[in-house]
Amino acid sequence: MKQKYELKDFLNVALFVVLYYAAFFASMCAGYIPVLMPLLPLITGIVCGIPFMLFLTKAKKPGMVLLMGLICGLLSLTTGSGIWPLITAVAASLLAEFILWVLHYTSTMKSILVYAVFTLWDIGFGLRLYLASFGSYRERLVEQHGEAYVSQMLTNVSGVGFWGSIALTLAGGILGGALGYAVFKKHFQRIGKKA
Amino acid sequence: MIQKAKPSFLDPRTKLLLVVTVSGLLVQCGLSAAGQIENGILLCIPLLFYAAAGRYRKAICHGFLYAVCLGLLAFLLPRLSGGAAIFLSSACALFLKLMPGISFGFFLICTIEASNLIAALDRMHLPKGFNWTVSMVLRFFPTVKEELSATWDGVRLRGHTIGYCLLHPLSALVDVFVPLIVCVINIGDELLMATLTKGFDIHAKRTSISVPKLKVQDIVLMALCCAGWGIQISMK
Repeated sequence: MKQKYELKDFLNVALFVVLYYAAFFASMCAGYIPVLMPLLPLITGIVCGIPFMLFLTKAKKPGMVLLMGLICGLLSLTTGSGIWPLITAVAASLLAEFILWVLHYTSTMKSILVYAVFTLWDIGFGLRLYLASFGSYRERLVEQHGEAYVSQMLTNVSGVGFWGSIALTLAGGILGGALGYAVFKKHFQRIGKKA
Repeated sequence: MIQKAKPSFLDPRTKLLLVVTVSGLLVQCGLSAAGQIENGILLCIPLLFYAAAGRYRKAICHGFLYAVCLGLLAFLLPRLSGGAAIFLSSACALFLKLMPGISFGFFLICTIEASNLIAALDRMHLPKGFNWTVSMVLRFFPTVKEELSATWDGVRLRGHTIGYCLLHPLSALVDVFVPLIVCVINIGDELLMATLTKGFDIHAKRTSISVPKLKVQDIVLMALCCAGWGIQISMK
């Protein structure tokens, strides 16, 4: 396996960062409907599965998934989501890189697990909500969004809980990964895109 | 005689810092009087930059959207209650907090040139691979937007309306993503050939027709950004 990074590798990362983040941002907009907020990790995981699974067919060197996660985290920072998504993006990418390394960078059904672990970076967006039990942060949320919205939002979120959210994220990742893998097998292999 | 490229008014590094500052500070704004004033100032910044770049239509369009949102919050929201009030307040809050930063990001993508950005990032001594990837990400956003528009036209030609997409979400996802990804990958291959022709992969120090330098306006704006962050942090 070649270790030297080529321009083609960075181009592939850039391409799929744009596709992945555009899908991610569009699906995240559903989160401002309070009822859908607890299901957000599931929705984003399913929607973003197709571009990421296709990206894995081109990620044959260590560091490409990490670079993708880092840039997604930086894009989240520039759109005002704070520092937590950047931290969770780097952590989840490192874990995904480890699993890819164990799988020897082959794209099989097991790479669905790589995507499921990568989607754990979504937790960063909701981490502040779980920290809202600290009084000062809750007060700031109320100041920004109003008491009614914050109360309903925290009720919905606390119903699922932190570990429930992680479980939903992993479930969304597995479903999205399976969808992406199925789409790759059906459409892209037929037109000659190799794994 | 080689003519030097006309330098842009702002250095790409300044533009990146402005985007991060506007987005970051907007999210922190509260509903208090000071927060509303801060919000109003930050809303105007992308509009001023669009106007300065001669993109008056975008400035007027975005300004009108902000005014509509503020009007809805001020006049319609007090008359609603329950779920409708929560939905309207959250939707308008999302728009007012995120769209100026995204609007500024679009300004960045429209006005920044990839060669200028790479030259500016090289001066920050970041890894080359990271610089190339960030530049290509910014370069690809308008391309993907165009291809998505064309793909969506193709989906509609097949009679798949928004109603169909809502009722068959998985099928709609595949109908949109598969042709979009194929188009984008083909464009990526062409871009790769173009960049290889320009000698991007040669391991030598690159020269650039534009030499990024921080000018007075860059230093002033960077100082204002740092002051904005300083005030925000001190208020916490």
